This record gives sequence, structure tokens and C-alpha cells, in this order.
Amino acid sequence: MSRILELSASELVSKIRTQEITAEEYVNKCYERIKKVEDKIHAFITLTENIALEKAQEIDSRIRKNENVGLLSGVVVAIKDNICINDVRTTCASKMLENFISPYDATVIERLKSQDAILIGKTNMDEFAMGTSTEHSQFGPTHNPHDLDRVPGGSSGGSAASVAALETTISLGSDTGGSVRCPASFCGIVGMKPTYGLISRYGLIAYANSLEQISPIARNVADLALLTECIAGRDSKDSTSIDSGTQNLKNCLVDDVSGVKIGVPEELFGMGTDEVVSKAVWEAIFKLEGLGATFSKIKLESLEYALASYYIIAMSEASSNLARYDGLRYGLRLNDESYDWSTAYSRNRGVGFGAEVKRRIMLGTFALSAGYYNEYYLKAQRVRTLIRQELSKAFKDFDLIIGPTMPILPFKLGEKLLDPLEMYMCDVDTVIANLAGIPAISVPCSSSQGLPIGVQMMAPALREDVLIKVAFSLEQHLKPDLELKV
Amino acid sequence: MMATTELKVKIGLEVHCQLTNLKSKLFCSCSSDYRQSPPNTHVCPVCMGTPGSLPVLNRKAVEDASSDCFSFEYAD
Repeated sequence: MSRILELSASELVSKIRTQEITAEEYVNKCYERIKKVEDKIHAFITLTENIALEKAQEIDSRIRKNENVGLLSGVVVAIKDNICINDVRTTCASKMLENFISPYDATVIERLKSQDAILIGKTNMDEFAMGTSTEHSQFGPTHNPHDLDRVPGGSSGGSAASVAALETTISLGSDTGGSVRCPASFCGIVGMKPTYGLISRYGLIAYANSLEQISPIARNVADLALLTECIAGRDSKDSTSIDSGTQNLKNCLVDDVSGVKIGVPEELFGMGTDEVVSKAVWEAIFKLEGLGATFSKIKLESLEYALASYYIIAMSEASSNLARYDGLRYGLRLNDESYDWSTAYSRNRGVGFGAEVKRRIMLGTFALSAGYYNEYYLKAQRVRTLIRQELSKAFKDFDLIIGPTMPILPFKLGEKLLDPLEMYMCDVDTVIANLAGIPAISVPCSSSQGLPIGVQMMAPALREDVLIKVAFSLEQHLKPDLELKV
Repeated sequence: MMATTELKVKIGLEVHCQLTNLKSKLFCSCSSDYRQSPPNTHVCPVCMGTPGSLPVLNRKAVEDASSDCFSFEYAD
């Protein structure tokens, strides 16, 4: 396999700037790789070859003329298909938006374009970001590059698989309840959900506004940090976005964890956590201790209710966010001249949405309805406050909270489709950070029979610097034994 | 003898502020001057509810409506 595909983003940028390789050459190599492996991986829904080659040629031309180029010049980025690119098909892996061409660029896309990143295509996902395995895509599942019979995780499965399979340098996904950290863990790469508000959601097709963030995915921590810095920061089009303050993530790429205080909640190693996963994560904790960090076991009782709280809030917000899909202005419209409005609307949505999406809309509508709102939605929000408070208190004594990203190893395709609850339970460790709005990163720490295991770290709001520093350190010292099957 | 009951009446007033002086819409920067324009001309991804768009609250609307409220001296 060509070594050019394994280059990190920073190596790539410097080689392209010095013209050791051209952006066009690199992009062509990526598309060659895509053509070779896509029938086994299925990470992409749409490829944007024309845009990509045009951009690559433009970058090469500006470099030849000695002009300035951006921080990501020549770096190839795959974009989850719920992030809008102007004039490009954006489907959310749903029949409802199968032919929807976005009329505008998401803010993160504008920022990537301004840093000369090359957009290679739109990646596969669970429909409307609802899922943990990418099996709920209406265009077929994505396969884990480390074991083609297994899931890559979800909902950003395509974004993670394409990075792991060397189809792209880096990618963007979205993380509402773990949808970037889960596939990063299952695919043996790094993924980080930023502090709520750090990365603009303008252009992210909404599932649950109070929980989700566009999130970076990369093969190494340095690339992740670079990508984050290029897209983070206040956006006037997203009222929930904030500035990063004095974060300078490049400076955190140092192998020094001395004095870092780590809290290990026993709730993250509860019933349902595989022994091999537990063992692997504890090895990572002991490694960090050996490098100068300290750890203590702690009890965070409110975490027992995190999953229930998350699903009620997420489904409620989803029922509201997906009400717009009426077939009037965009999206699927069946030819229903003969039906009354109410019937036509229902039929259209019945056909356009998949089973899991319909399930969540119905449950969310129920949870918000009169007579049930107080019992479910309001109660879930109160629990959410308790979780935030308990974590806040813990962060007074600790810099980081650590645990597994996923309680289990990557499972086989079809294994968890019989009972939706079985799939929901996989999110038990990841939803916490979304509820609390805090940043969380997944780093590969080990493997079991070739299947990747990730360790998750959470930090207080706007302390991505701590996550990057400790993640970088772990990366230098833990080299999981992983092999691509493509 | 018949007992008499005193009836108490509670009257609620729902008061709306119609902010006709605003130049742009409540949640986006499209012009709010619709009167002479054909349909669907002062539109953008936000007010069309296009997937991925987000509303941004009109600051002047909040300021104007608030000052209207304060001008009714509410007794406690």
C-alpha cells in the first residue's frame, strides 16, 4: 500500500507546500484507494470528485505562484452526510432527503474551504444520526475495516471507517450521544466531541440541538487538534456557539502527564462492560500512572440515570426537529394530489423515514405531550442538571474523568437489531458528555483478537487542552495491535 | 333562607406587541417589508426551515418589546 496514504495531515501540508508531492496527486491516490475498497467498506454515500480535483489543482497552482495557502492545504476531508455542502447532495442517509441538494455551506465547511481543505465526499451514517452502528442507513451499512463482518460503530460510521481505511486523511462527524467517539473506538482511531458550542452547528442537520456537536475524527491526535482549531470558534449564525478563549491545542502535543489527576467512576465499569474492555482501559490508566499522573476511584451516582435522561431528551428534540420534513419545500414528495393534507403529510413521512427514525419521533412526541411532559421530559432535564452538577463537583478534584468509550467490542452486523434497547445500551458511557456539554475524546488503547478498544476521557468545559495533552501521551505509549482487512 | 355567594371575576389580558418598525424578520436577516413584494422573495435557508439552518433572535425586537412592557407600569 502506498505510504502516501498514511501521511498525517501536518506531514501532508508540508510536503505539498514544498511541492514534494502535489495535492492533485494525493487526491487521485485517495480516489484510487476509495475505488479499491469501497465495495467492501461502503463508507461513502456521495463522492465529490469534481470539486475535489478542482480544489487540488487550484491549490497546486497557487503554490507554484508562491502564494499563501491555508493550514489544511491539500488535506483531504470526508464529511458526514448530515453536514451541508452547497450544491452537493446531502441525504442524512434517508429516503426523505435522498435528492436534497443543499443551497448553502455549513459554517464548518466555509472554514474548511478557507483553509484549503479538499472535500472528498459525504459519508454514510445512521439515518438522521439516530443509531450506534450505521446499520440504520437507508443506503446500506458500513463495514468495520478491521473486521468486515462487524459494525464500524455509529452514527458517524462512514466518517470513521473512511479514515481508518485510508480513504481520506481526516473527517468530520457529529456526536449527539457518542456518534463520533463510538465509531472512533470501534475503528481504532481518535475522535473527539468538543465542548458544547465550540464548533458551530449551522449547517448540521439537526437531530437534538441541545446535545449535538460537529466533531473531528483523525488517525492521530495531532491531526485532530489541527482540524479542531481550523473549525472552532464563535459563529454569529449559531447563537449557541462560543469562543475557545485561550486554547492553543498545538502546544498541547507534548508527552507530559505529570501531576494530572484522574477520576475513575465505578459506574463506567458497570454490569454490561466486557472484561477485556475493562482490563484494557485499566491498563491505560496504570500506564498514565506510570507516566506521572495520579488516579482515584470515585462514585458518581447520577450516572446511573444518564442513559434514560439522554434518550428522553434526544427523542423529544428529534420529534421537534424532524417536524419540518413535510415534503412542501424540499425532500421527498409523493404524488398525493388526491389526499387531504393530513393524510398526505403522514404518508409522505411514513415512506420517507426509516423504522428507527419513526420510533424516535413517536416516543419523543409522547414524552412531550400534555399529561406526560412533566413525568418524562421535565424529569429528564432535571436529572440532566444533577449529572452536570455531580460532574462539576468531581472536576474540582480531578482534571480528567476516564473510562471505556464503549462497554463492548465491535459487534457483528445484525447482532443488535432485534431489540432497540440493546443498541441504546451501548451508549451508556458516551451520553454523559453530551448531557453535561463537556468535551470527551476516544483514543485507541488496545485490541482483543484484532478488534479495537478505545479509552474515553472527559474534561471540564473548554478544557480540550487537557484531553489533547493526555491523549497525545497515551498515543506515544500505547500501540494497539491492529490490522486493516482491506 | 337562601345562601348568597360572592362571585369573583378574574380577567386575563393577552397583550401582543406588533413590531412593525423592524427592518428584518424575527429570526433571520431577511427583510420584513413584505407588503409590496411577490411571495417567496424575502426568504433564506433560516426562515424556509431548510435542514441545518438555525434561528438567530432579532436583538431590536427584544429591546423594543421589552421597553413596551416596561412602559406599562405593572403594579406588584
